[in-house]
Amino acid sequence: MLSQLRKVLAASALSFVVATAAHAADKHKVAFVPQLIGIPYFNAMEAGGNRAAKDLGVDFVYSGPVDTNPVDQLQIVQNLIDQGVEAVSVSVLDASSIAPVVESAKAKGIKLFTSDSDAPDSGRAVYVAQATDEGLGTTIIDELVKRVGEDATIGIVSGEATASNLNAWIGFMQKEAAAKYPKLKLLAPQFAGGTAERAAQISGDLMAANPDIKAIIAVASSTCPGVAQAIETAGKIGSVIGTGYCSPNTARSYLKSGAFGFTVLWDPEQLGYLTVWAGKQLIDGKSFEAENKIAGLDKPATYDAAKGILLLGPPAVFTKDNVDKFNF
Amino acid sequence: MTAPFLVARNIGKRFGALTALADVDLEIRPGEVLALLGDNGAGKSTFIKILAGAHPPSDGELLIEGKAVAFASPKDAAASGIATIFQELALSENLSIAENVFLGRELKRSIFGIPFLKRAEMRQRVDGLLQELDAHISDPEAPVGSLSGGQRQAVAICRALNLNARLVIMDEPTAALAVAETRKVLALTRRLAGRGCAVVLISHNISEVLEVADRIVVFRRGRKVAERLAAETNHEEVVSLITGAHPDVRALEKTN
Amino acid sequence: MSAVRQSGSGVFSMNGREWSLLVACLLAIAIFSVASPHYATQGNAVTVLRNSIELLLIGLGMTLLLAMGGVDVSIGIVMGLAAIAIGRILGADGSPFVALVAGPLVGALLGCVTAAVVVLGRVPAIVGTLGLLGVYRTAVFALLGGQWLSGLPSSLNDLLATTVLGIPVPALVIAVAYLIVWLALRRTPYGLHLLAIGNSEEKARLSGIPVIKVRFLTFVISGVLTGIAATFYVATYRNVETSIGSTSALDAIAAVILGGTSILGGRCSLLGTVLGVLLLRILQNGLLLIGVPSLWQPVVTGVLIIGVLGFEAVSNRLPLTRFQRAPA
Repeated sequence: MLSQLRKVLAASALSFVVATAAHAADKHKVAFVPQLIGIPYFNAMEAGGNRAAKDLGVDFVYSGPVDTNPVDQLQIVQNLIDQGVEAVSVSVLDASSIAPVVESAKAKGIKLFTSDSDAPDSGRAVYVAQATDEGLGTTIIDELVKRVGEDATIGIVSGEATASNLNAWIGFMQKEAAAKYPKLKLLAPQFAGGTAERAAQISGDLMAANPDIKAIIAVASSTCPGVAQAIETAGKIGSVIGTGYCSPNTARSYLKSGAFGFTVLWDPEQLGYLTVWAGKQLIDGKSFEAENKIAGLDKPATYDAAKGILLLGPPAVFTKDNVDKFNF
Repeated sequence: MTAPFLVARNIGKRFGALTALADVDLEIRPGEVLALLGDNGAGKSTFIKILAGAHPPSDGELLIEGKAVAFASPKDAAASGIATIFQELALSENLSIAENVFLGRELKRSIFGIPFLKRAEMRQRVDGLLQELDAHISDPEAPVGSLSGGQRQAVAICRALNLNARLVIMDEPTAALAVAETRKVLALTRRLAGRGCAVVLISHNISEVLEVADRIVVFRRGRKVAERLAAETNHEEVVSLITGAHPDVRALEKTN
Repeated sequence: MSAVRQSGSGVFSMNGREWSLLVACLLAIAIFSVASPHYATQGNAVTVLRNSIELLLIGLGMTLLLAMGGVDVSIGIVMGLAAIAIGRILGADGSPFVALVAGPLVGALLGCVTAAVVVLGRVPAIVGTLGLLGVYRTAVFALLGGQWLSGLPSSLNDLLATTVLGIPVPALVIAVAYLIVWLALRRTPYGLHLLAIGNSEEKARLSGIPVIKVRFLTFVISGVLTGIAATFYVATYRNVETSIGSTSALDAIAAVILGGTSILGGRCSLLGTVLGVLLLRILQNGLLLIGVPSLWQPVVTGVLIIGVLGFEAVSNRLPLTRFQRAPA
């Protein structure tokens, strides 16, 4: 039944593409294929893409799989190539299998690039990146020091000990603390696995074991609710600040209750905007500057020519004051 | 002589082309121990499976207290008062004696519609049964798995009695037992008959059979070939009946 | 080891394993109290007990399943699905009383589904529930649509974090659940039938036990207990994440085995399960408080289980001998 549903959705997505193509044949067409449609994160990227399309005078096509199936995703990309869009961006599900599709796009003179999730060795035109590991790691420490001072004990609750991106972020936190704030005491990271339940238990235990603790960082998004709940239950709102890499929807109630002081992530709406802007640049045959000031974005996007990475800029910081502007 | 509890008339059983049993006539009376003897494949097992309701007979009929019966399942046979104690005892090793004796037919009282076990009463009934059978078990609360083979036979017999069995079929009850244990089980068998129960005993041990049984029926090649009162026969005659060397058997097999 | 008695004469009569576990719990508490000044506090004791609630409830059901010779590895995700139902009701500002009924109800329904597959479909429990684990997990993803339920109102918690006659509601619920399961197991025909099935399904059938009915009912009871666990989960964490319950089934099985219930069925200890859960939670909490990284905690649990079962196997000489023979 699910596969049938998928076929129906794919069919309707295609007819949408055809209709749009017939409607405005004169405009450039930029497409984005997310990992999964129907979730708030990619909905936000779609909204940013639509805003950019309006500002820049291009057509934006948004189409993706109904579950995170790499084969379905590649088929959608191939269909878009066959239908004659001029630039396609993909949030790659399986980096190892996209190279043939890149070849096929190149053969037709279509620009294929990646956004949000990369396939570095695929021959893609550019990778539109949301944030660097270093940016995420240093931002959270800098923001924390602003709130709790340099002389503080800070706990770290991560998810799986095997998650390389989470470990990279923790590495940059420790580097930043050692380089800029010698008095800051980062406790050894604790690993909660994937459940909020375990994250809450560990956070509670961390507060019991370290009465002088000033903040707890939820590294994996799955640990955000657990950390916040533990701070609330322990009655430590105000004396312990929770933070982490948590989306505004996940963290909203904790930011408002005060269990969380702030969270750090990027804004997918801006990422969607940058994606369409990059697509237009590629179609127009323009190259990227080291720093690109774009009218529709808050901050300039930087370009690393060696790695072929167009970076959205420093990560976004969400607080109780701005959280309601976001929905992802 | 008392009226028979069960009468088998012309019972036959075929499995496809194979005739496992033919023309068996037999009467089983309350209070007597009837032993079935015969070589492997002589038809004893097939016959008791028909009595126990595990196989329907192909020919003939069974009468219980004069009325014809047809068993579709072992449950039907049990409802008619026939209990079978298999070689592999169907006891739950992890449960106590009383729990085993009453398993599936527990005594219960209803509290707010929920059935609760009447543990004390079950225990009392089992103690009484064990006493009647003169079976001594030092720790009645111990799991049956910790009991000896003979004690387990006693539990199985208790279970049969508790099901109000009027005919108890015992399939090789002493096969796996030590000498002392065997004596106890044979004594149990007699006491069972003493309570007015009909007992059908299957055994390969002729001296054991002669000691405990009232009547002996010999099966050979799917037929009943002889019937003797235990008091009127001896070891040698029984052996010759089983092997077919006895003149009566020869005469019978010639006519067939 | 002396012959194992099934029918304890009272709710609180204890066997050897139960004593060992109690001693282990007390020993662990004593060691942690000496090693960390933050350990022996009232707050920490409450934390440990609080962290045990869900596992206690799921563990009681798992005890029945294992005693019956069954198992349910999908039970954690059943908790997740029940939690989604509760979360949706709370999220729509529904009555917390409705939410209170939803958990056990969804648990019972899913118990019926599991029983239909395993009992009516005659699939071995480990195979059937492994299959259902995949189905249920996908259902969790589909129902959550990639987005967690978070920031749920605290109305349910307000209801459950109270006391009745000075006793905290969670303690009361656990006590009542324990008493009901104990009575069912030790004082009703159902309990006898369950243990007989666990010993040998074939013999149970020969004894005239309604095997299918008893097995079906047991899966439903386990589902209901899990639904109650989900209620406490949502009340406390006010959050349902996609990975909810992913470790619960194995944690519960570990605690139940630790408590002296046979993985081969036929023998069980409810008190042992309770002590097993408490020991696991005491160790998890205490190890972190004395500074052992959380990464090492599963190792401690694993070693403990292998140690206990290994010791028993050696002391019994024959690993699978379940009943000591008394001298004839």
